[in-house]
Amino acid sequence: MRVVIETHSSLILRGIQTQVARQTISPDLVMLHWFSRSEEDGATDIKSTLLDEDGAFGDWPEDFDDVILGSERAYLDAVEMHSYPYHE
Amino acid sequence: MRLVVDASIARAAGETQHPTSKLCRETLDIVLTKKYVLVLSRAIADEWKTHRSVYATTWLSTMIAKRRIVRVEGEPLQTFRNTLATIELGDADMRAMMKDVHLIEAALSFDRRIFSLDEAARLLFIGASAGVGELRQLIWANLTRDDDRAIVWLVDGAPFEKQRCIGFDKS
Repeated sequence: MRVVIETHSSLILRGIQTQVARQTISPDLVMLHWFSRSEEDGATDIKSTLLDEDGAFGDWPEDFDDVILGSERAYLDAVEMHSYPYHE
Repeated sequence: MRLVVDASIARAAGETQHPTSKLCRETLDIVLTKKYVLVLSRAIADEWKTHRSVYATTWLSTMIAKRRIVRVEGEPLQTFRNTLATIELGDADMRAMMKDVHLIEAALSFDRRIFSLDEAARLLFIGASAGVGELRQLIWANLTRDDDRAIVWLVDGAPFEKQRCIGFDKS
């Protein structure tokens, strides 16, 4: 049986990666496709990649984790500035 | 470029201690966006596990997912350790230096660059460097030292600059 999951959730993706790293899912059974709109002609671009045995996908997709990290960083920076308002 | 990043940075990145914590987050962000590779030996990984913050955990999982980790067995470089052990140093300082020797060994195995907040360890290695040639081939950048301008250097690609090496004689 093949399952197609459409998601914007990094949690789902990380869950699948975790199962691959735990060897409960073979990396051969997973393929990732990242859909984006071409800035040139508006057509859909598809970037595909496989997971390795660590569940790692390399530099695909470029910004999937960065949003979470950016929001964490922004929050901690804001608290830091709030706590030390005279420094910056 | 493969970098050793000390767990002191992982811990501080999740705190709000001004200005160190922000510097640490900025550093990790540059490592990620500039496509540096993190060197992880077992000892370094264990320290990260002990000290890492939620922020650093998220960062580390991102680095792993992007295949930007290089793992090293972290076998002690015995000849190097033996030489280091001959340095005349008090017991407490010797223990302190040996506690961080795995960072040096990991860096020697790759691109010889260490990022850390640990100034005490840096000074100990500087003190030992006259008698240990390997140390003089390493760069130990302390994010909190203005003289190091570590973030600017990292943004510029962390080129190997002799004057940044441990024990470099400015005279």
